[in-house]
Formats: sequence, structure tokens, C-alpha cells
Amino acid sequence: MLPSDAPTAGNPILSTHNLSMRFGGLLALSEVSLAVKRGSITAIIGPNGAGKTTLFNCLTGLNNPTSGLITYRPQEGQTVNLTHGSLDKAARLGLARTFQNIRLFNELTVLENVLIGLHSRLKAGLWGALTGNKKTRAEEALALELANDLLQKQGFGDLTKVLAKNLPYGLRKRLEITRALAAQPTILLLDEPAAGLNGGEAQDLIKLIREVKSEGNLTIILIEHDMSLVMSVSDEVHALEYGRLIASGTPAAIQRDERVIKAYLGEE
Amino acid sequence: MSLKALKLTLVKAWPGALWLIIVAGPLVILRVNEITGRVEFVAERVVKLLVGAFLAAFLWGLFRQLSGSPEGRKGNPPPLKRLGLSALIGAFISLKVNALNKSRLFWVIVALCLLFFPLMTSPYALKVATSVLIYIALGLGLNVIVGLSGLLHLGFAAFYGVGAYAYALLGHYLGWGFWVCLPLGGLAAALLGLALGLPVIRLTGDYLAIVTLGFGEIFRLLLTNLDVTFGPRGIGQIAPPGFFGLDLNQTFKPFLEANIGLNPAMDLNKVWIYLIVLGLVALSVKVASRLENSRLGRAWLALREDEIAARAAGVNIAFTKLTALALGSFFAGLAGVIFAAQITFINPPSFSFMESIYILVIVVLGGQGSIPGIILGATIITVLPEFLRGSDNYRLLIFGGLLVLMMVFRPQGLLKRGR
Amino acid sequence: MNFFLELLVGGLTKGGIYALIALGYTMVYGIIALINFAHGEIYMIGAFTGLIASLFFSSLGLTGWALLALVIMVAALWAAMYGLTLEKIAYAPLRKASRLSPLISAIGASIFLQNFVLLTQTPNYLLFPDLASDLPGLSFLKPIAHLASPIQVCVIVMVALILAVLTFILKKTWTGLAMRAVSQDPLMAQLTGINLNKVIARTFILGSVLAAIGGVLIGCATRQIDSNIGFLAGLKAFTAAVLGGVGSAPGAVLGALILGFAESFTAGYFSGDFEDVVAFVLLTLILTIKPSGLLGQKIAQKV
Repeated sequence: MLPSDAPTAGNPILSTHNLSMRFGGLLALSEVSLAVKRGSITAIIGPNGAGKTTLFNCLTGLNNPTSGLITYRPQEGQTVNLTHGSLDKAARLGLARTFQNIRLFNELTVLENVLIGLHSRLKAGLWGALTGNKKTRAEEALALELANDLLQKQGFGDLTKVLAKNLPYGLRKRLEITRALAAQPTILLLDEPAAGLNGGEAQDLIKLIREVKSEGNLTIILIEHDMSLVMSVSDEVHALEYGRLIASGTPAAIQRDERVIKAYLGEE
Repeated sequence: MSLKALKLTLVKAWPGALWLIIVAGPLVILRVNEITGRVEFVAERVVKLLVGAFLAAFLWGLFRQLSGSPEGRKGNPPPLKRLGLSALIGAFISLKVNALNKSRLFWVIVALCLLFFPLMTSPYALKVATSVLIYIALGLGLNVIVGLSGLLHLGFAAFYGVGAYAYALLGHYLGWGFWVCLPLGGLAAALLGLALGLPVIRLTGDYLAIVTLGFGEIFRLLLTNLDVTFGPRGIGQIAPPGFFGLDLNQTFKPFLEANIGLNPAMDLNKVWIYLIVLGLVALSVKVASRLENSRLGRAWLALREDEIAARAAGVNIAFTKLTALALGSFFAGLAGVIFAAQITFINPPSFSFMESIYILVIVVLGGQGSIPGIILGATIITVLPEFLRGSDNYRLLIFGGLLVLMMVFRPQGLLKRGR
Repeated sequence: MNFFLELLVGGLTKGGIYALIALGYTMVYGIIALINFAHGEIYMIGAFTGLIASLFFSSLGLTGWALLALVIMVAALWAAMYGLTLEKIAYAPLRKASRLSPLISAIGASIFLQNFVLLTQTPNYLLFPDLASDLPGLSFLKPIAHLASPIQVCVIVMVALILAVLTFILKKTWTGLAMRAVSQDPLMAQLTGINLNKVIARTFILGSVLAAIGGVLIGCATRQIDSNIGFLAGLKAFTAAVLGGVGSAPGAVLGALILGFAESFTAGYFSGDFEDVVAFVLLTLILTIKPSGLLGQKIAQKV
């Protein structure tokens, strides 16, 4: 039984049906059907090369699946077909993501990075930029305020004018998440947020994830290798292996699942 | 730098010098006589070759040490980072610019000086000043495309040419005046920018560079080979911009000469053009600084830094690229119309690949994305050749060499983008 | 029909010479992702050193095959030295710089070299001696002389030979293997012990030698050279490389041949005025339809 059919959950916010992705001869995703509950923290786990990032790329429109269906319900009663979406369109629809190898705007300041994160929430176009009219100025002031507030809260207090490339690794990861949060997304997709963080930083990350989830009406999907993190924050876990979904369930159930154990430890 | 280190650099220059002598030697001391068709030995160049090769090798080593580049650091002397001449000048100027930026009085004085400049100067200086201003406008336009959006455009002169030819042709065939043609020239260039943009939206980096280059060449070759544009002969007698239907020289010149001491050789039409382009530059600077801190400007920067991350933030790549191309081209079109009015005669070589390179160098020389940098770059590129003696080709030789040296020793440009 | 064949041979000759230059572009691009804008000037310098060498050696009484071979060797040697020097001065210090810097540096080097030759030699056209038409042993070509001149046959045959040698170098020698490895993944190649600078230097040498041969052959074919020939030829050769898919050696040859034919037929059937336009129109069209060029591989980006 798929989790989407669980009686208490309402309609899933994001679901895939028989999603397949082929790169030449390689089947990166094979008929993956899963559902993400509204307001949940969902983890995608699996060994390297299992297709986790490909799944993310399909969900956010960076790649379009070879076959299958992606359905997104930003609100109850509203359905959007994301199967043939694009990255920027998905972003405008409320899906914000981070990347496995951090993608910041390196030559720009911390503040500018977050301001660009606000892009889809602002409206000013060419005309506004050229004339600098009242409406544009007001919007710009508001954007600055929002960005600065967010940065203060995330602990970038004195670093707003620093170039992103000059930040230490942990802060670069945090800035990327902050940039994604600036968009006020409906779903936040984090690709290996804890990779390369030390123990303290990973604890901060867990705190951050819990905080942003409880504050906003946010759904979080994350790819993660750090099992303690996965087990402590997630409500639901999907395990992938060789592009196939091998198990879905609560963290506790996944920990006991034989196929997952086999996929991680290998067969004797 | 200690004397010992200097000596060491001198000694180390020998192998390099020897290599340069071998490489460059044959072409320097042997010359083909175009009449007899024989190879001649040019004895008087031997000394030049030896001295030149040694000097080049020595200065190269010296610069490398001063700029603290990895190879220079291998030697004994400690790296004296950022002591290169260009770095010093750059630091000095950027300090000045930043300090003065704050003061309103300073800008009022500058504006007044620029406004009354034509009254105090010669026609020659006015011509140079007008060129500087036209190049600033071009530089600001290209900066939107290359500096901010990171789209490497090597055919920008074509869009400049569209503006110039739009005015010249509309004036010639339809008798349309400057003020009608000014916006039309800008729009025509912007439309062409969009037309170029549509096929190249999917292209990035060097592919984009080469297509824009090809586009510029197509434009120039069409100008040269079509009859409507008068081919290589070009178009002359382009009308000056009107001023409420008055003949400026008849109406105002006697008064200005008698009371303010205007240079009698000055053509007031040129003064009027100077003032128009000054206005255009003021407007462009204003718009450019506005753009830099706008949603659209940040989208351009995001595109330059990381296209995928920009898309993930919701930036529509096609729209962003097209606005950059159209807007940059619009500036170029305006500058082109004014250029045609100033020079009164245009032909295809004015819009060649080299012209595109000059404009690109203006953007890069000053420091990418920096408005004061572009003003500085345009001034250097326009004024420097006026001071360099010798033939055009000597200037170009030096220009080419300086480009290489600048990229090697100060690739970030003279001024850094201030925030 | 004869006219058609003439144009075909003309296109093949032109395309062959473009191919020699385009290969240099594409190999350098494959290795360090740099548009070596000054490559056209290396070709021009090859033509000039070839001219000086041919005048010098023929004044010593050399003729025929020996003269041609010696001229090509001298031109290739000096072009290789120029290529190496160019790499060392204008590109090597910029290995880690942003993309724009090496390109500007390359444009600067191109302007420098062009004016260097112009100032040391002459701004005018120079007559290039006819090294190929009276080569002993080629008299059997007389019957088809109305279709293909000896020099055209010479160019076509030499280009074919050179391509065979180049294929051998790229596929069968250690240098070729190292070059291919570096173009796949420079970091990984270095980790396996490949000396990056050495491979780059060899690539420049190889490319410069090919360009120099192209320069001598074009001199023989058109009988006149000046310091400007490098610019347009370089531009078109790069167009050819991009057409075929930059980084791919067979692609460069294919692109060059297409370009040669397109130009030859345009000039023959349409108008010589638009010969140069064709190259760029073709380039824009093909890249619009297939952005990675004809034989270029679309590289999947890992995110």
C-alpha cells in the first residue's frame, strides 16, 4: 500500500507515478511511485548511484523524466502536472532546492545571494528597473528588509557584505539553504545537506530543519547519507536502489526493512 | 626589491632573451623585398633585436616577481604582492573614486566642468572628448551583456553600426532628422539584438562568443557588399542634429565668440552633439547604476555566476538573456546614431571586429561590471592612442601587447567593482 | 559538369587547408577549453617563414621536392616555436583565471603578432613562389589540369596524408593517449601522473605545425600572402571547428570540408561577394539547430 493512500494524510503534496529516467543505456530511475505528505519531512536514502539526485532533478524540472507522471498539489484542491516542468518554473511554483555540490553565486555577496533567492517573490521588470519608479523602490526596500531579516536569523549578522566564495564550508551550506528559504517555498528540497558538516554543524542543521518546518507551512524532502540525521528528523523515508524504490515507511520500519539492510550492507 | 634580486632577475633573463632572439630573429632581420622578391638582411635591426629581446625577457621576469605569480615566487626574493605599477595606479584611482563618490558638491563641479568644457577648448579636444563619451555609452551597453550577464559578445560593433546606418540611410533616402532617428536607431539595434538572441538562447560560453562574432562579420560583409548601403564607399554628408530648426553657427556663434571667448574654429553643431552625448552618458550611468541594484540586474548577475542555480531561484533564463541583449544593443544603437552625426561620414570598417574588441576591452580594462572602470577604460582607449607617436600599426602592436600583459598581471581590471 | 567538378576540387582544397588550421583550434580547445584566437596568426607566420625560407633556399639553387620539403620543415619549426612562446606568455599564466581573461589575452596576442609581421616585413602583398606546379614526377597530372591544378592535387594529397598521421598520433601514441585523457578530465589525468604542461605544450606544437603547413600550402595555392591572412582564415577555421563540434578532431575536418564546399559553390553559382558571409550564416544556422556542433558530444552536466 502506498503511503498516499493513508487515510489521515489528505492528498499528498507531491507524488510520482511510475517515474522512469533513462540516460542512454543507463536506467537511472525505474518506475518510481512515491508520495510526499503535506507538511512532512521526507527523506530519500540509498547507496551512491541509486538515483536520488536524478529523482530530485526530475521533481524540480532540471531533467524531464523519460516516462511517468509527477503531480504537485500546492494547495488542497489544486493540481499541477510537473512532469515536463523546468527548473525555474518549478521554483516559481514553490519548489526550492539546494545542490549536492553547493551552487552559490560565488562572486556575489551573501546579501545578493539571498536577494536573488527572493527573485520569484518580487515583480519589478525591465521598466521598473529602468525608471526606478516608486513601486519598484518600495519593493526593493522591502526585499532588502526581508533578506536582512532572514540573514540575521540564520546567523549571518556581520557577513552580509562578504563574497559567498569567501565563506567557510559550513556557512556556504547554510547560505544555500537560506537562499532557498528566501523564496518562501512550499516544498524545500535539500540534496545532502549534512554532507561534509562536522558534528556541531550537523546538530545545528537538524535544529534549522525542525525550526523552518514548524514555523512555515513547509514540506521538506531531503537526500541524506547521515542515518542518524535521517532517523531523527524525518517522518517518512523512501529507499532507492539501482533506480528502483525498494522500501517506503517510517524511519523505524525502514531500519528494520531487510531489503534496505541488504542494499546497504550487501549480500553475503 | 633588493639589488641582489634585481641582479638575479637580470641573469635569469638570458635564456628567455636567447629564445626570443631565435624565435623572432628571422622575421626581424630578414625582410622580403616586395619589388625584387628577394630576402634582404637588415643589419640595422640586429642591435634592436638583441636589446629588445633582452629587455622583454627582463621585464617579463621582473613583472612576474612583482606580481607574486607562482613562477616568480620560486626564486629567492620574497613576493612583493600587488606592487605592480598598474596595481598601484588602480588602487590609487579606486581610492579616489570611492572617497569622492559620497560628495554631492564634487559631482556638481564635474557636471559644470563637462557642460562648459566646449567653451574653453579646441575643436580637436572636443572631438576626442565626444569620442570618449560615445565609447563610455558603448561600454555601459556592452557591460550589461558581458560584465553583468556574462554573455561573451564579440560582435557588438554591429549594433553600434545599426544605429549609425539607420540614421545615415533614413536621412539619405527619406530625409528624416536626427531626433526621429535617435530612438529609431536604438530600437532597430534592440530588435536586432533580440533577433540574435532568439537563436542563441541555448548557447553558452564560447559558442555564444563565436556566433556573435560571426553575426558581426555577417553585418559588416553585408554592408560592404550591398548596394543599398553604398558598399565600401560608405555614406557621407550626414546631417547634424537639429536645434529647434535654428542654424547654430549663425545664431549663436558671434555672441559666444565676442562675449565668452569661444574658439573661432569651433563648430557649434559639434558642441551640440557633445552636449547630447553627454546627456546620453549621464542617463546611461544613472540607468546602469539603477539596474545593478534591481531584480533584473541581480538576475543578470545570477546568470553570469551559475545558470543552474539562477534557474533554481526562479530566474527565467530566456527572458533574462534577451533583456540583456536588447538593452545593451539599445545603448549601442543610440551611440551609433550620435556617432554618425558627429563624424558625418560612415563606412563599414568603422564597425569591424576590431571595433567590437575595443569596446570589449573598455569593459574589461576598467574592471568588469564597474561603472567608474568603464569611464576610465573608455578614456584610456580613446586618449592613449592620441599620445602614442608612430604609425597606426605601432599603436596596435603596443595595444595588443598591453592586452596580453594586462590579462596576465591584472586580469581583474584596473578598478574592482565596488559594493 | 566541368564547372561543377572545378568547384568541387576548389572546395576540397580550401576545406583541406581550413581543416589543417581547424585541427589546431579543436585540439587546444579539447585540452584547455581555450579559443586560441591567435592560432590564425601562427598560420600566417608559417606562410611568412615559409616564404623567407623558399626565397633563401632557392637562391642557394635548391628546387623541386627538396625545396618544398625544406620550406615546410622550416615553416613548421618556427611556427611551433611561436606557438610554444604564445602558450607560455599569453595562456599559461592564466590557467586558473576566469574564462574571459585568456580570450582577451589571445585577442591581444593576435593583434600583436599581426602587426609585428606587418612592421618587420611589409603591409603589402608579397608574391609567393610557385613551389608545386613544376614538381618532378607530377607530369602525369597534366590531363586533368583543367579540373585540378597540380597544387590543388598536392594540397589534397598532403592534407589526406597529414590526417592519417594525425589520427595515428592521437590513437596510437602515448602523447595522443595523454592528450585524450587530459581533454576528458584534466585533474584525473594529472593524478595518474600525466604532466599537464607537457601535454599542453605538445598540443600547441602539433597544432602550430599543422597551421604552418596550411600556411605554406595556401601560399603556393594563392601565390600571394600578407600579414592579414591569418585573421579571416583563423576565424573560418574556428567556425569549421565549431561546426563539427569543438574538441572533436574528425568533427573539425568535417566542418572544414563543409565550409570549403559551401564557400566554393556560393562563389561559383551565386556571387563571390557573399563567399565570406556563407561561413557565418552556416555557423549560426547549425549551432541554432544543434548547439554542440555536428559531431560534438552533449556533455551531461552533473549537479
